[in-house]
Amino acid sequence: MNQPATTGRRLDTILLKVASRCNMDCSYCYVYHMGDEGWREQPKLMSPAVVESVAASLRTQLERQGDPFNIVLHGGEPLMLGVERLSDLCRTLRNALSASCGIHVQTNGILLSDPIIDVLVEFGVGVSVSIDGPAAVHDRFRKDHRQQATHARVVAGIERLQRRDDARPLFAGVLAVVDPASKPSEVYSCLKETGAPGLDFLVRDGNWDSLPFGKASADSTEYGEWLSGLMAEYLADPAPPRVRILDDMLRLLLGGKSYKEGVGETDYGILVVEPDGRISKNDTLKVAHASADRFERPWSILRDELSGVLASASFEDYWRQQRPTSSLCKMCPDLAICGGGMVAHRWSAKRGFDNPTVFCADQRLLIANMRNAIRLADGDAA
Amino acid sequence: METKQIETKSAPIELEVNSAALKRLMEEVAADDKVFCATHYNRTHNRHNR
Repeated sequence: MNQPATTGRRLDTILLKVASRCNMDCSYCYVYHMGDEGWREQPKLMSPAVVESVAASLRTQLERQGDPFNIVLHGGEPLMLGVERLSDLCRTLRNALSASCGIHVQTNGILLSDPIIDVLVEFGVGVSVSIDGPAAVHDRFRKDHRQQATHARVVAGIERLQRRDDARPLFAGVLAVVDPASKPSEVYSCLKETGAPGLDFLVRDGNWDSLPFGKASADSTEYGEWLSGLMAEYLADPAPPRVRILDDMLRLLLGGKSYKEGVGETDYGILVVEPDGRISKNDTLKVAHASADRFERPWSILRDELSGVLASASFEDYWRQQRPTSSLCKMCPDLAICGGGMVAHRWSAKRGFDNPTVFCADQRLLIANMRNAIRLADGDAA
Repeated sequence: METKQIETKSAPIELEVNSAALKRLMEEVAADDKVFCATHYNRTHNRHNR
């Protein structure tokens, strides 16, 4: 992915915001509850005209760069498209692109009905479901707009997916947002019981001006301790699924590669297309401040070529932003493992993104424990 | 199962000595990550609104 700027960077992930609204109302959501109101300006669903334009643009970009990229249907809740529009969208994308480009959906699972699953099967769309753990953990924050619990409906959606021989291979994994007050052992067991081949975990969003939920101070290690507890469960499991955040960091410590954004020093070419066609940066930047995910120019998939965006100075600045600039990070012996964390988590109004991640102490603790685990496995117990 | 307790800056942690997950990763890295490159498990999944 390290192409010179003059030829334009390559795309590896295109996130399609096919729905700007969600049928859930999770209190921690960065789209709706962290100060960015951009979703209000967006149409509820991506229109067929925008979908056609996305498909044509992606086909041109694929011809230009050669390397395939992945398309992630995202929102809001992407399955709010409904059966017919989802089917039309997938058909349009599949007709435009070779099978080497994966299509995936990240869903809260509630709308995983059999007719929807039929569409996902027909077009080979990979599925990942968001679930935070057992009901008591999940339902603390993941409620619907009537403030009703959602866990049972999410589990029912996963079960519908898992019941079908044709759909089961599409089930890529489940994703949980960590509640540091929960027990890692209970969360790990619950997620493993879904039968998902991969589990992944996200920390709660925050920055230096607005500490993440559950962190008493920047120096405290609530998330590092929780993730270390998760690692202990994972390493003790005789038949473990994949746990991506742990696998990626451990793999780097073992001399391998990482694949997850916000881990290690691999750079990624991620663009977002909003429902109205606007082209944006990685949407998690909203966590820093309102509109932090916007380019200076209001590029649109309806008017602008992706190659122009990828070759622009603005995109180059956005790309380079992935690497931490803080002198603390540059001196840190763990930088190659943590990579400075998610860009959004480095933000402070005073210094912009020129900080370590606000989870620095957590990362350092987790990495130290990972080094211990590897030493134990090597027979060199500390 | 054989675990060892590790003292850390915060709470002690019990770590498995003969971990299946770690053994799997070690084998994959030794094989230059070729074993790992399953299409159903890449970084574009598991990315949601939090």
